[in-house]
Amino acid sequence: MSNVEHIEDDTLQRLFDGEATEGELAEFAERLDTKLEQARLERLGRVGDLVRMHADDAEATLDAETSNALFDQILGGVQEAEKETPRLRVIQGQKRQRAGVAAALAVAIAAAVALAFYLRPPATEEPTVAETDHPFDTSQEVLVHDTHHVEVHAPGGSEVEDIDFGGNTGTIFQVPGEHGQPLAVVWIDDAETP
Amino acid sequence: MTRLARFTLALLGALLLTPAFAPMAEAQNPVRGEVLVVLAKESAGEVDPALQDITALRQPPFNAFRSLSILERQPMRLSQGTPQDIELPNGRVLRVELQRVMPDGRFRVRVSIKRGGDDTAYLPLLQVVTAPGDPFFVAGQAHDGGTLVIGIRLGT
Repeated sequence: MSNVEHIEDDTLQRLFDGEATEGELAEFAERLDTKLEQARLERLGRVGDLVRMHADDAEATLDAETSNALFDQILGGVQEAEKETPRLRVIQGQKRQRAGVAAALAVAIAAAVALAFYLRPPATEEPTVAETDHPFDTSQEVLVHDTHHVEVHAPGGSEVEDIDFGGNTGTIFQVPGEHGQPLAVVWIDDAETP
Repeated sequence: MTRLARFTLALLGALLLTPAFAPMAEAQNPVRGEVLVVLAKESAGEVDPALQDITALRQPPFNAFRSLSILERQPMRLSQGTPQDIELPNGRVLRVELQRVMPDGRFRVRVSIKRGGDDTAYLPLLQVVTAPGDPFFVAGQAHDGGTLVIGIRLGT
């Protein structure tokens, strides 16, 4: 089998076309050492017969120029197909490459934006009128420790929460105390003698 | 005394010494106070020197009185929930009761006046919240040609 694969194409072509010499036929028959290869050769021979029959029919209907033109078109199609296959592969590779380039470009842009954000100089805003007129340095934080105790006093004064005058009438008001604190006054309109 | 009892007493003592429990501790102790009964008259007369420092009595409507005399000055020691009765010159009875010591240190006081004869309420209810040392007044009762002005003060 391996010997058959090493037979040149021209020799095979002449063999199937019946143009091989007697020597080539004898040499080829010696190299067929297995039944499987012989069966394969027979199938190829049948295919060759079909091709020859079709070629004879085409030769009967087509002139020489048309046949040659048809053959040239077939060859051109084959060559075009051979050229297109690697081109398609290249296009796929270019698509992947373009997608990778786009992703890398996006990452680079994001990195550049982040770098510009972090390395930007501090904002220099125009000071307001109040800031320029402020006599103290307000940019520094100063912690003041107040060591004085804060005493919270109860609300001063007095106030009425509830009252029942009973059978009398009366008035509730307030007068200022010594420190101005309101002092409650309940004034009973006494109409009875004890 | 067991160790548990000693620990409980120590814990209670520590709690009572903290500021948060100071009003509670004060409520347990009697609060000093004073009731001042003044006879005020519009007729010409003298103003007791002890009353001249009381700013409130120089304010309207008290400044309409030209005579102020102290009829009674009654000190008090009020414990929470234990009222104290003071007999007024007109025969009625003034009752003062410390209801509670507020968290801010003020006192809530309940005052009532009963008639002397039939023990009915003349002034059924007066509830006042007062700061320590600041008085409040109950005035208007007629007596001896004048008007009774009762000043009540708790704490100092």
